[in-house]
Amino acid sequence: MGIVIFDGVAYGMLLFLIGVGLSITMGLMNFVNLAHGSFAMVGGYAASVLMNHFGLGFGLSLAAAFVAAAVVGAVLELVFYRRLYRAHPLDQVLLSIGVVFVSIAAFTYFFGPTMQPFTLPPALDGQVSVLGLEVGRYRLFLIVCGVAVLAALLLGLGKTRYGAMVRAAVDNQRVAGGTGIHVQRLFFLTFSLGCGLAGLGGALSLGMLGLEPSFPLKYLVYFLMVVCVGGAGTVTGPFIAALLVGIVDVAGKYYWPEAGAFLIYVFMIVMLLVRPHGIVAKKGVA
Amino acid sequence: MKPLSVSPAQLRIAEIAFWLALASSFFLLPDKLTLMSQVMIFGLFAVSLDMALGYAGILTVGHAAFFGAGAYAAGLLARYGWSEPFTGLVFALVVSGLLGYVLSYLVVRGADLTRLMITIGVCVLLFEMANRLSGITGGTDGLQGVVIAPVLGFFDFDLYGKTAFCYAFGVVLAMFLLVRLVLRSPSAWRCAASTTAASACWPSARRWKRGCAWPMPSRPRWPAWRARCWRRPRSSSASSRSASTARPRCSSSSCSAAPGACTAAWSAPSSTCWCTTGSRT
Repeated sequence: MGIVIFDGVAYGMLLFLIGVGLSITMGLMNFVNLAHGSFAMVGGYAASVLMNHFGLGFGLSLAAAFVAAAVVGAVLELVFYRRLYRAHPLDQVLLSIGVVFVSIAAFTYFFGPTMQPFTLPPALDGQVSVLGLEVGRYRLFLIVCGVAVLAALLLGLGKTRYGAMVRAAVDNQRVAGGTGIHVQRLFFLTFSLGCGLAGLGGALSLGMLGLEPSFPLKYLVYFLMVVCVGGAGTVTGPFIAALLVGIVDVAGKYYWPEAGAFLIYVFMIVMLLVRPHGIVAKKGVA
Repeated sequence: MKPLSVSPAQLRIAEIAFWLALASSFFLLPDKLTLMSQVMIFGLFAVSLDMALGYAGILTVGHAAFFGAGAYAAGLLARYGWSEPFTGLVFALVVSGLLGYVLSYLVVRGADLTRLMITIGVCVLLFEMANRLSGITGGTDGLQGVVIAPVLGFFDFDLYGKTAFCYAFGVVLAMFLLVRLVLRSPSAWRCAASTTAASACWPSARRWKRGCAWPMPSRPRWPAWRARCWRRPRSSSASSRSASTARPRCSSSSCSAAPGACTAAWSAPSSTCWCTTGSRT
């Protein structure tokens, strides 16, 4: 029981890391970005290539994954996304699903369709005993990372000037623009930050989910679920939702394998019926 | 985006030319008839998606669920003894329509994003269900042993797809004309307007999901839709529902903005007529 919850929490942390960027871009720009998993994949492949071919350390590779995904996100924002902020959601969905398919094809072309090889660094390999539970070190590391990112985001959005600007823009773009906030630039920076976090999550998922070119499509629904159930435009909402989704998914597959694959969808539908605007519905509350 | 500007006369000519071109493929592409039937089937599926997405404004990615539900309905009916094609169509229509009606309570709520997710979830659930119930649906092997009886008792479905093509063409053309007629009625304008105006304006009018059947998508379930759209008239004329057969009385000045819409057969009385320029964006 304990280990199931622990694994669920670790899985949820990963979903949170990838999903939180999506939550902010969706809440801030009302942009239905289905291509968020592609940015996670960019980060994951960057980390994998750096570790396997250039012998970089795990920590440095994580940082590189963040930077790579943020840069790719920034470029795509400048070239494509910027034009569609005011477009119909369907156009946004079509653009971003197109990005997903292009990225899948491109990564298959360059890296092959197989799963990326990954060996855990020795410090994170093996098990460690916590409160009488034998838990994997890597999963513990994931949880630590997730909590650290949550704390950093809450502090950053709650206490800094940039965070105040983001909250203002989430609440009301026009008024925020009227007070002199450069909303376009804010979008750009926030989108890049969200993509960077996705890249970090993608790199961390190397040791947990495995990384292959179909990654963005395979986990797309999970990322969207985290954001929808949690509430777009918030940070704590996706955090809670990611934990719930992780625990329900792992527990469902563990205790009820026949129905486990779609138990999570029943959970999502019920949650969305109960709270159509997410667990934390209020926009702009970090 | 700038809408195409064609006069009604030009549009009529273009439409006739389009359908003639489609029909001429029977003679021009005699060995591609199966493909052409599929083209038409998916064309009708696209029309049905446009009704849900374009007119009713429901951001759905699970529309194919109704396509599949209709296919299973017609297929199972044929497998268990009743293989007459047209009744199969009607049965598929009823099943998909009922499914859409039930699901509309789940789908038509919340914001666009919520709706998107619920449609994804419902689609995955239905897929898993069809996958698990392999005793009924055949699972991943597909539905086996479906034999459709000859159309009208004479025209057998042949190997070259000649019957299938003619059958598909006839049904698709009929459905297209019917859908067009429905979409030009004032209630449809009202539904379209409710998506451009506040989403809360006519929530019940958005339950417009319609199903599709295989081999042919079927008609929209307009009687139920008509009742829905009229359930909450803006005026006090509660008797308006019974006046469905009456000729329209929309020529008053209150409805001058959409005269074309008000000359359709099932018009709302003038007091409830939705008067809008009806821009679909």
